[in-house]
Amino acid sequence: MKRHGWQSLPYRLELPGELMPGEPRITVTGGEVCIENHAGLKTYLSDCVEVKSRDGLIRIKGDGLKLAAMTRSDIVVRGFVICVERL
Amino acid sequence: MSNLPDYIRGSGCIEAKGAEPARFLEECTEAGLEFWDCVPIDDFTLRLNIRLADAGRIDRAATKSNCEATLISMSGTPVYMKRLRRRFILWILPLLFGATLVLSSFFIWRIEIHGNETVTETEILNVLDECGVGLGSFWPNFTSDSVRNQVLSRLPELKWLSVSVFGSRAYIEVREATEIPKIFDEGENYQIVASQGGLIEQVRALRGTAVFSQGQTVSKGEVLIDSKVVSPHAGISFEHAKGVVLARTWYELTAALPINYSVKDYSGGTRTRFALKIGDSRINFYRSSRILGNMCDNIVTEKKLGIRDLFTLPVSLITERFRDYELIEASFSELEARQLLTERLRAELLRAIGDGGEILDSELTITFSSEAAVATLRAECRQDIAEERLVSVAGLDMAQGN
Repeated sequence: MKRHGWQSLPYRLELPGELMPGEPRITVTGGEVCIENHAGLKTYLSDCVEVKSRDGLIRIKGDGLKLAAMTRSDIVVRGFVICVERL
Repeated sequence: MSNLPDYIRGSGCIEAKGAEPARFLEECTEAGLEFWDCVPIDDFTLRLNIRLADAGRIDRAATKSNCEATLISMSGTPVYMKRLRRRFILWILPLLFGATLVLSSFFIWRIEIHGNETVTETEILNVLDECGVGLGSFWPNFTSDSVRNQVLSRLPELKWLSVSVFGSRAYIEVREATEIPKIFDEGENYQIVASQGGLIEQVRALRGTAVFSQGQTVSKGEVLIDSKVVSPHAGISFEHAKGVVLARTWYELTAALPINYSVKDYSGGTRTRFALKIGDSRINFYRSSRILGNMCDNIVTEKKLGIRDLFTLPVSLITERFRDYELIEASFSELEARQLLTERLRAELLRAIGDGGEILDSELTITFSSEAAVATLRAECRQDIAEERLVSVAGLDMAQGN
């Protein structure tokens, strides 16, 4: 994904992307996917969950997916996770 | 519902239908509505659990997301409370029970007495009852000080008493008064007489005049040390005679023991019946109150209802247990009879010669018949036979006349 202006500054300086506010962070732990700094839920099905983010869409594919928790900033999806894609 | 706090707060199951059910979740999150166990049913339907307190705000989130939210079911404490609201009896009974507990804690339903050794609990309870402290007494009416003053004035055997009330239990701690030792009054006119006839071995007259000396025989009641003292300077005076007179004494004690006796043979039949005691009233849970037969032991146990050290209710559960028995004849063997009679006679002899006495020689003869065993103990002892006796006025006049 191409970044412009000041958004690309941490990458140019080789700083961790976590320093950028609002940058989505995806953590996959076993059968659980945690997405921080999301921008909303687009699709919620048992085999596919799509989460909006500032940079685009994050798609989680799997089986028996369940929304374990959802707050304004975080989403936790549990189930048999096959892949996590950034669109 | 996963944990107890959620159950106490109450929860509801919501089904959201719409073109974009995911947006409904977004709106819920935006509105700060907590949800859990969110399961997609199909492409257009979601099922999730929310708190009952948030149920009113769920419609707004549904409208915003163009969904239709339906409350399918409710569970948790608020639901049960709502159901119970119209069942007055279920509210009134616990309230009545609580009120009874609170009220009953102002009355004494159990009295525990501690610290008494010689004064019996019955004596103390009787005096307490006279002072107004008994079962069913309203304890705020009395104070520990007032009860102490009243009880101590009526029971001189006690020197201290305290009353502590814990709930419906009165805890009474007592201390018994120590017996006042006998004061030796020198001015009183006492003689020393023989408590038992015998042969005198030693006379130690500490006060008074010795009448007998070593080697003489005395019979019971004879004066051993006289209170009359003759002085060349002061003349005749009377004092409290005191002394030790050691003498050899002889005893012949007889005891009989029936050979045949009856013993209880428990046949194993037991019956139990119950009764409820409320205050002083008793409710029997059986038809007839007569004792079931003569040949049975009756064991009665009374259990107060309540929580120990917290409160006691004026209700007791009485259990009467009857244990049937049959009387069967048994007999002592010669050895058993000999042992029993020997122990009995020896105990009687030791009681007769007192603490300082000793048995010098003894001989036991036992004769057995078909009905009884008769034992005779002949013993030679050494003991202090001195016994104080107050001299009467008539006796004093006679002595002065002499």
